[in-house]
Amino acid sequence: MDTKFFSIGKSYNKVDAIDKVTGVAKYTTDIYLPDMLVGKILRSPYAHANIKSINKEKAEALEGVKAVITWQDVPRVVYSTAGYPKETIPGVVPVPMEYLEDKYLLDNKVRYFGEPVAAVAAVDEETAKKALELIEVEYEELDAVFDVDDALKEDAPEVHKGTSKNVIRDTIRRGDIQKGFSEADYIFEDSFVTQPQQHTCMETSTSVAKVDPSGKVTLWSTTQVPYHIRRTISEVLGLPMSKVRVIKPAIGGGFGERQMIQNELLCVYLALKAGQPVKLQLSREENIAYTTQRHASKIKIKTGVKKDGTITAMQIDVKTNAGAYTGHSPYVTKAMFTKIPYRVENAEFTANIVYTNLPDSGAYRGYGNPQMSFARECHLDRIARELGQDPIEFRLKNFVKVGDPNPLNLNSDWVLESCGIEECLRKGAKAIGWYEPKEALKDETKVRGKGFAISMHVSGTSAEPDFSSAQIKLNEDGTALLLIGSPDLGQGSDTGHAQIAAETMGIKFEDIKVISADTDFTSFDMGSYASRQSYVGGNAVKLAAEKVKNRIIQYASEMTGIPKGNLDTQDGWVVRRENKKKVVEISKVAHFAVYQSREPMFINESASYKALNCPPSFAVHFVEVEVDKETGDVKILKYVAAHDVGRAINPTIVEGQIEGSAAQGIGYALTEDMIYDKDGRLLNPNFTDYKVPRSLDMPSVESIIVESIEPSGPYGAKSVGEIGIAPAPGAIANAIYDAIGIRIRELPFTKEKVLSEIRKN
Amino acid sequence: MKIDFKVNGKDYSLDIDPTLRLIDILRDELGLTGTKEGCGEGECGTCTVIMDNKAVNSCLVLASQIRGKEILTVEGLEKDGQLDELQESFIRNGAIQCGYCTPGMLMSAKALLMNNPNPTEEEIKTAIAGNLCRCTGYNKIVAAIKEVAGN
Repeated sequence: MDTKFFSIGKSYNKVDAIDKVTGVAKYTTDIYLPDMLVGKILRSPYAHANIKSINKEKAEALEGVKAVITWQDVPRVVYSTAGYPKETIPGVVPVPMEYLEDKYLLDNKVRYFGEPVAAVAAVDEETAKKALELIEVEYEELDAVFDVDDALKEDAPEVHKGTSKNVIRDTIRRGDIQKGFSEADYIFEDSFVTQPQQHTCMETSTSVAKVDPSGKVTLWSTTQVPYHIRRTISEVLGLPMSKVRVIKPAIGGGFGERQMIQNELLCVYLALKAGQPVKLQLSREENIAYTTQRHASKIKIKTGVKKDGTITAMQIDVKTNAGAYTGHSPYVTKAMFTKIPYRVENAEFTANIVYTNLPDSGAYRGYGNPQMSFARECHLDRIARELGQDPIEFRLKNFVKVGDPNPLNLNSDWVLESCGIEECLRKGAKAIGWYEPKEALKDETKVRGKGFAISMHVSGTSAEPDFSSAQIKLNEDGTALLLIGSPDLGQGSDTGHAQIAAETMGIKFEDIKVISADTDFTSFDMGSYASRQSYVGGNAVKLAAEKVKNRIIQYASEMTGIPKGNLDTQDGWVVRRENKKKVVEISKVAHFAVYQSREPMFINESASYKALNCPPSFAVHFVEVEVDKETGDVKILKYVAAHDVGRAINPTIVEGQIEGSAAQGIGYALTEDMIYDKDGRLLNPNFTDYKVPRSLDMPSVESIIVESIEPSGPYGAKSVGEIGIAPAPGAIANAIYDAIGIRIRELPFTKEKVLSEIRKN
Repeated sequence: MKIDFKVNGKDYSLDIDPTLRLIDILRDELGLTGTKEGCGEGECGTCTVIMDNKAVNSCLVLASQIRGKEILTVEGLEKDGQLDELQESFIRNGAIQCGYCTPGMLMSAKALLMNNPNPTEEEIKTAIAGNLCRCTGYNKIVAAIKEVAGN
């Protein structure tokens, strides 16, 4: 039965759109405060070194310099750059706390090229830069290591004390792997390599901090996790949370980079020292070269299959390049295993999280899924073809199904309640012309091919207790204010949440104003990551809105004398439940509740939602490519992305997520890479050499939205934000194979690499 | 150095350092923070404004180059409380996500339509090829510009 909705499923304009097209929206970089200082970071010229001495006297003596801080000045408190709360962080691949919390604000040792060594605050940029030059540092250079295989060697330099051969290793087992392989008719093995990727948010990472005479700290930051930032400031700098306010204004991109602790603590500490506001804004070069990146990985997959195509066992060995600090690495690496959308009774996953002297790898849209989806979907494409089976039917035969227990491999007994992958595959195959015969091209230097890849992703964190809360105030004119801690990064969560609130309360969408991501005013939320906003945040909004609706009905009943059980709300009205006949406008009820009721009340409700599961969304991307055999150029002719999102709260926003993530996936597959020299210095820290797709590189993406209606989701919604990047590289790789008959197992598929593979074969 | 120029129809006569970049004049001197900085090297197009009917990266234009010029920024698109049809179309088509590239994108699109009211899709893509967007995948931006170009 399809219910008639008033707000859900409508492509309303985004609530922040007018501010953004007029230039009115204020981003962190747009914040200018009286007496605001410029913050700058001194960075290490070595990838691995001890700081033997550091002298800041000359820098401090320079006119206009208001603060200089080194490791000797900052509190010696360790923290995790991942930002997760202590109680929940050891949950995934069990990692001792000393590795999870391995970062000092500034340290007497540097572990990657460009790591902060000191920071200054000065009256202007020029003075700040001069001050950096005046800081005298004596380094003792140490041997450094950058590649995971080098780092695993017996004599490799130790990046972190106590980690034997720089590695944290853990194995997760399901069933009996040996039994699984012994039941197989064939065993296939493949190895894959993936490169790092940089988020390249268009607004560089920026913080602005000010300290009031009372000691109250206000921080504006390009963050996805205001509450995690507030907690970390509180823990590291020893400030009570009542004295720390974190605000995420309009933000120029997130994609996981800003799920990390960035430079917020340094900025606050500079402001505390200087006694003046400080803006700390990274340059584009700093942002590309020295901030967190997607984990480079080396993946081995071994799969046992029966003649009929049934998978009997899967063994995966992964080495991820963690960089210099642990951060998100255990979670990202584990997540590679928990998002495998196939029934594999016997499985073994070995995670090798390897430290190197590179900036720490961390969260990036997809969180381990793009790497593993690439490897797995290329591997399965090969198996299907070698078994002589249709790759679509082979996938469907082994795919998880509604009723299957726990496909996410969590410590939980939930079962899969919604899965629209078959509809995604059928519709996608039709749109790309999967079963149509290949046509020979007139131009013999070019060949075409089609491929697809499937991914599954969570709707919320699957590694920690996931939790959101929301608050709704009903104004006395019947309009409402929704307060939620979840930051809108531009993906449109404020708009989606307003639609859920409107539908649930029976108020018009236009009558709802959203304020999000201000720790002093909005209600607690983990943050904007793990594709959690629509599902976890949305469920919290729905619960708060239901409470408001109950209040509206309570006061409408007092007003009209109609029993509560006979009343409902919709589209701005209190109506008769049974026939939806209009009874009284909600605006009049809201006014009555405040001014005329026997027991006046300002209707102001809040609710919390704890996600017991994080039901997966599913996607398949189909690609048709044309490969130029003479240049190695891979041109995408057609791109079809079919997504099971549960329910599209706002279809235009859903399409935007699909198209945008496909673009990042295409960049990851074809052009984006981080090239380091032998000293660990990034050689391509700019948009000329780090190649993000431009308008002329992007094909038109045909989005197919499948609604499987997740029973536990708000109006059936699951997630869409992160998943879309994961199938892209595998789909493109399989299409290249279909075109040229060569499997390229190492990302990215640059012209040089494709051409060299063609020439080799 | 005294420099006369026009921004969004308003005359300015400022005594400024001739080596200042146009983006700094707009943001720091005039308070027009709608124009954003993305790279400072002319590679991302985020700071695009229109100078004498041509789209330029305001991070690559120096104060001395704006003498006598007429500059249009995102703040100047709205006329008498009415959004420009490009702004309306960007909103309607969902062409905005984080919005940081949006002002530059709008100005590149505006410059295109000022000089070529009926561009093809390829011409639209070429006109915004210097403007990076990391959120949208460009599809909806191209669609938004196309919709206005048809008028």
